[in-house]
Amino acid sequence: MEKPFSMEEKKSRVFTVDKVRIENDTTHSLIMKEPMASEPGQFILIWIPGLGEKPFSVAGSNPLMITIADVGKVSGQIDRYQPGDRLWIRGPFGQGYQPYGKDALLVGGGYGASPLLYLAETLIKKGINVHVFLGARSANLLILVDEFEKIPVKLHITTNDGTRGIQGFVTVPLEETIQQLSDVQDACVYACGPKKMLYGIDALCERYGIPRQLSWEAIMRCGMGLCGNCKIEMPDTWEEPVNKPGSKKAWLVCKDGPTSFTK
Amino acid sequence: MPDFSCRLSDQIHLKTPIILASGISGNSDSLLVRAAKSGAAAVTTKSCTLKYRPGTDNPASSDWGCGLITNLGLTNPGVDSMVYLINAYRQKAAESVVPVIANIYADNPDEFVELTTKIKLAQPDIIEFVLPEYDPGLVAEITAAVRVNAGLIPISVKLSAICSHIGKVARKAQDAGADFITAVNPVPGMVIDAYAAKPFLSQGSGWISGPSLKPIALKCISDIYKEVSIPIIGMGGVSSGLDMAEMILAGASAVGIGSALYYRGYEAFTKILVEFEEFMNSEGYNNLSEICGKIWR
Repeated sequence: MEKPFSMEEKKSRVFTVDKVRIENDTTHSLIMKEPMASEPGQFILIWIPGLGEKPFSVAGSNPLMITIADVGKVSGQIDRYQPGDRLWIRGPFGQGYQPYGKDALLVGGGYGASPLLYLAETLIKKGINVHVFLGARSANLLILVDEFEKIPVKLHITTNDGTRGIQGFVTVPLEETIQQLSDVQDACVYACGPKKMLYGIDALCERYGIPRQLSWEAIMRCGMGLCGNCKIEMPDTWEEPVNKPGSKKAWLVCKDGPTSFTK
Repeated sequence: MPDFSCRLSDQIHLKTPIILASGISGNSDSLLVRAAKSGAAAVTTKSCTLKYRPGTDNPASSDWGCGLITNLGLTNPGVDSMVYLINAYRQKAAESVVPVIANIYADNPDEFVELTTKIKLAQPDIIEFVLPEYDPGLVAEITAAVRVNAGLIPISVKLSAICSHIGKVARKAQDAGADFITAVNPVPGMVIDAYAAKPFLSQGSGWISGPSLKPIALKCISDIYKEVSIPIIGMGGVSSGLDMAEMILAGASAVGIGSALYYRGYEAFTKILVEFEEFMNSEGYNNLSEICGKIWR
C-alpha cells in the first residue's frame, strides 16, 4: 500500500543521546531523548555529518533506541557517543514484522538480535507466547541477553564454540521447539541475521510448514529503491506477489523489505 | 482504448510510451528484467564509462521534500561488464524482453569512439550518450563520432537542463546525425542541514530530480520540440499519468521515469499508464500523435 506523502519523515532529524547501555565488548545501545513512531523490523539511516550514513534496525521506538556494533567508520564513531551528543536520523523505512498467530519464535544471529527485543515486547503486549533463540559464534558476541532475561519469554542460547548455552547452531533448539508446537499454522518464526542463516531457517520452516518473517541484511546506498545496490534473490519457497513481477530475482531490501513473508 | 503504440523510428517500436530512465537499477540485469516485467516498454542501463567506477560514500541521496537529490558518482561496472549485463538481461527476460537503451558517458570524443565501439557488441536497441559539456561545436563533434561508430544502431543525445539554448544545441545534435534527443538530465543542486551546518550529501552537491524537476523539463522539451524534427524521449519528474500527458503535450514522443520508482515502486509503470489512459479517454484522444507537441498547435 502506498504510504501518504510526507515531507518530514524522509528528512534527517536531530536526536539527542539520553543513555548508553553496554551490550558486550563491541556492542552498545543508544537510548535517545526523543521517540520515533516505527514498527519492529523497520530500519533507520543514521548520519554523522561529514563522516557518513549507515542503516540500523530500530531497537525501540518510545524513546527511540538503536543497538550498534562497532564494525565500521560510522558505527565506530557512534561507539564513542555519550549522553547529550547529537546524531541525525531519517526514517523509519521499509516493511517491518507483522504480529501473527499464537506462538512466536524469534531467531537472532549475532547482531541480528538487535530488532528482536523490540519485536518481543510488541508481541507480548498482544498476548502472543514468545520464544527467543539467540545464536552467535562465541559468548562475547551475543547481544541483549540480559534484556531478554528481564521479559517473559522462553530464552534459548547457542554458541558455535559452546562458551554459552548449547554448543551448535541456533536451528537445533529452534527445530525442537517447532516440533513441540500444537499448531504450526498458528505460529510464526521471525528471524534476523546473515543471509546464509536466513536461507537455513527458511528451509527448516518449509519442512515443517511454519509461516516465517525474515528480515534481510544488505549493503545499502540510496535507501530509496533506486540504485539497486541492496538487491537480493529470494529463496525458492517465497511466492512472488502478483503486483510485483520480477521481484523474486531482484528483491530490494530497502524498499520491498527488509522483512519478507512466507506462509 | 487509445492506441499507445509508440513508433520512435522505423526500427524502434515500443508497446507503450513509458521507459525506465537511465540511472535507476540499471547496474543489474535482474532489476532491468523486473522493470520490463513491471511494464516498462524499454529499459535504459546506468551510464557506463570505459572503466569501472566505484561511486561515492553515503549519504548519496535524499528526499528533501519537493524532490530528490542524488550523487552516486557514476557508479558502473565499466563498458565490458555492461555488454555482459545487457546480454544477461535479454537472456533472463526471455519472452518479457523489451528494447534496451545503453547509456554511455565519456569525457572526450576519442573516448566516445572507443565506448561506442565496445557497447555496440551488445547490440543495444539505442545508444544514448551523456555529454561532458554543451559547447555546440563539441556536441556536434561527439554526436558525429558516435553516429559513425554506432553503425546501424540509432543514437540519442541526452541533454541536461543546465544546457543554455537547449533547443539550438539539440538542433546541432540532429544535424550531426542524432536519431533522438533525450531530455532532461537532472540539474545540479545542494541540500544543507542547518543544524549540522553541513551539506547533506557526502559529495557536497548532487542532482535534483523528482517533482521539482518537472517544470524545468517541460520548458526544455518544448524548446527542443520547436527546433528539431527527430523524436524526443522526455523525462524529469514524471510520476503520474497527468505528468506523462504534460510531457507528451510539450513535445515528447516517449517518456522516461526514474524517481517515480521511489515514490510509487515498480508498480509506477502500470499505475502511470492506467492514469494516462484515463486522461486520454476522458479527453477523447485516440493516439499519441494527437497530443504530441499539441501545446504548440
